[in-house]
Amino acid sequence: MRRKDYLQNPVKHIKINGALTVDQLTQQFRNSGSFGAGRLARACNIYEKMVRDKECTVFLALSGAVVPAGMRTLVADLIRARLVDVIVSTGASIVHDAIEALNGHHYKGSWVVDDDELYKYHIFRIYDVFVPEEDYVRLDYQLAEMYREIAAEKNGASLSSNEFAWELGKRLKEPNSILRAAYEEDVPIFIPAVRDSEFGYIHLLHASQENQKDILEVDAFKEVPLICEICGKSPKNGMVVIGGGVPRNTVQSAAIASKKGMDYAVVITMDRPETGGLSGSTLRETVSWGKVKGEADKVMVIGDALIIFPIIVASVVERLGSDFTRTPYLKRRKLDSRRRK
Amino acid sequence: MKGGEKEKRFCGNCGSHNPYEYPTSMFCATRYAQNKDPIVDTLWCCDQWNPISQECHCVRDALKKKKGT
Repeated sequence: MRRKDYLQNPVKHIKINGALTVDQLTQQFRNSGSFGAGRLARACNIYEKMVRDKECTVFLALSGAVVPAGMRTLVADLIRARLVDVIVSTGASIVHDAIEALNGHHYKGSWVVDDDELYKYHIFRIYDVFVPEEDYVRLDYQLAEMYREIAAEKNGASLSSNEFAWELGKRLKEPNSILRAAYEEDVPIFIPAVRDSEFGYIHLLHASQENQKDILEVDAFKEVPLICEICGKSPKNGMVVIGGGVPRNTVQSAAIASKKGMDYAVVITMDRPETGGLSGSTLRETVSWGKVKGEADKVMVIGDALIIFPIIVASVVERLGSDFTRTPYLKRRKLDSRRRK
Repeated sequence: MKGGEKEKRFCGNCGSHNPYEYPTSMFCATRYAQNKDPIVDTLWCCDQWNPISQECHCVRDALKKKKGT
């Protein structure tokens, strides 16, 4: 490159003129184009492209504790607005959704607190969010009963994690629930590490019952063909990753297994790449595996997803306008025939 | 547990307890496994009591609540 090629785009300074909408603010971030503001503005553009691209299937990979911290309804609303097509989640995120679906609550707390005292009061802490143990216990009790009902209906046959999520969504009636919204809108939720959450311990409780005829089993391998088929049949694929971990890798692995590679990628994380762990791995590194295309529209936003993701969604929803409707490329009823068995 | 509570056996200081309606009622995993009603009074006790591994306030708060009612 020539010297002058490096000096093409001057930074435009952020200007706040009285009241700004969220999208007006992110446009100011785009004018700056620098640091986190520039990355956030780019993430808004990429997510907008994903949802406007009629050939693109949008995957949302969900990890970390954003659901108990307040992002539950946002995810459910995205499902209902068809602004995400497939969810891949940690078990814990879905557990916290189910806790609230059963009238449990998460409480604003503090990270400066006596944890020994919390233990004695049976209160769990997620940084500065508190969860009373009884909300878990009520979940355990009610879901153990659901496990029994599902196992009896299936005559002991195993379920994939998306079938399991669908069965729970069928039984949870609360409209702000991610599980319920996904059930009603026919959006698959994959929970590849389902046992690494309260769902695993509810299984233990369910299986502990004397004279239990059928035990509910979730088969981690069973869903692999389906998520790969979704990726494979979609002309284009995009992913929005909150955090990383198993959900991010599950989406990326589906992309590579279906010989596709992601066409769009937004990753929101605070993890570092130097450890070699997946959650902090850069999208350039991901290109080396073929999980994201080299020419893909992609950005990694370093920041708290509880701040970043709602801003992205608010900005893009504002751009799309109230008349925007989206029909996902894939007719999932064809793909999902196996989960209705 | 403090003082005399140490000698007393309650659901609320049993190793199988989890709060169901803090501090008055508990969920008992042992009873659930036996297909019995798992929701028990914090201040009740059965013959399968086993010691809790770490101190909690369940019995103390249940006793306070009982005195207050």
